[in-house]
Amino acid sequence: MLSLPAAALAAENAKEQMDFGVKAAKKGLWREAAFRWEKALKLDPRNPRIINNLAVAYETAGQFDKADQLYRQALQVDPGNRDIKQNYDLFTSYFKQIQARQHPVPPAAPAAPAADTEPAPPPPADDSPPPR
Amino acid sequence: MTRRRLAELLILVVMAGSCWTGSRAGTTQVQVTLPVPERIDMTGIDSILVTRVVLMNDNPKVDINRETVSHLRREMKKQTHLHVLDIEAPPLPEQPLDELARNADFWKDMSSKYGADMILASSLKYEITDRSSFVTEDVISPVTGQRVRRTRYADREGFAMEFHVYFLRGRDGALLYDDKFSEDTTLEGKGNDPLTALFTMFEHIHPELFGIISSNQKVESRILFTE
Repeated sequence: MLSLPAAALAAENAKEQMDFGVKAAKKGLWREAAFRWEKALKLDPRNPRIINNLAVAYETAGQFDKADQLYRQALQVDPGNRDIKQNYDLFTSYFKQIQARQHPVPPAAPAAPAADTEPAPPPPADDSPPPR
Repeated sequence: MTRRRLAELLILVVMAGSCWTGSRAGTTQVQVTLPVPERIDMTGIDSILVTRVVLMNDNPKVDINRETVSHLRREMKKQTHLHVLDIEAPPLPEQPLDELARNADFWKDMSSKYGADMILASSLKYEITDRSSFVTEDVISPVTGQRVRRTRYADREGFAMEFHVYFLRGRDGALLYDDKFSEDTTLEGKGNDPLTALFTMFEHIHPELFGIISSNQKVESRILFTE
């Protein structure tokens, strides 16, 4: 029996890993899926579909910088792919929200009390003035 | 005739294109659960104290302050991992809360007095207004079965709230985060329960409010390639 050429064998293995990853992802096993797609990507490093799937897996793990990098890489290889573009647009929108959450308000420096206002009294004790 | 059939065919093609929402061949759509981190760094913060709410207007019908504090405590116990201190909510001095929030010494003292890692202070403006008015509506006539347009006077009440929250760190009294939430709703009829209306509006802001101090998750869809 003739052995398959190395490239064809690698592609076949990559496809197997890709399938396995998709099955795992559908069951919510994203770490397993990522592991499979990493293996697939080693066998087929410029496959935009594998790169896209891996980006989704990194998103679910909260590794947003890595996901961003992978989406960009996938679009660089296949700029006209509408599915990757759609995923990337959704990711970008979500990622912006996350970034905005983490830097919403600058840390407040204690303000100096105004000259004409009384400073706040100490925390209320049991005999403190009536609350508002 | 030929031209007409061609036009029909064209419409069908356009409609089919616009209605198509399924996955393309070789792809599958999956739901992904994505993490939404809390807005402020909660490192070393395990307990929280809720102060009395500063009310911006009077509501003679109900004890808004007490009810709001209870509601906040109850929901924080359910929706966050924080230990909510079960003590009488401390009152706040007569000073605009915006100013008081920046008085680090005050909050630091309060925190050490009650043993709280974090303090939640808030102000609430809650207004109930009469929004009754004439409305125009289409109804089916029971006599003729026809749709008829009629105008009637509808009793309605409007409920509006502005809730300003301040999260203060206990160990140094620093203001970590503040945000203002506004909600407005109109209910049919008169004599609606003001607390029910208030808590319904609070429920709308829960994800955002508790998302400040507790991580969350959201579900989105993504496309995976299957081949």
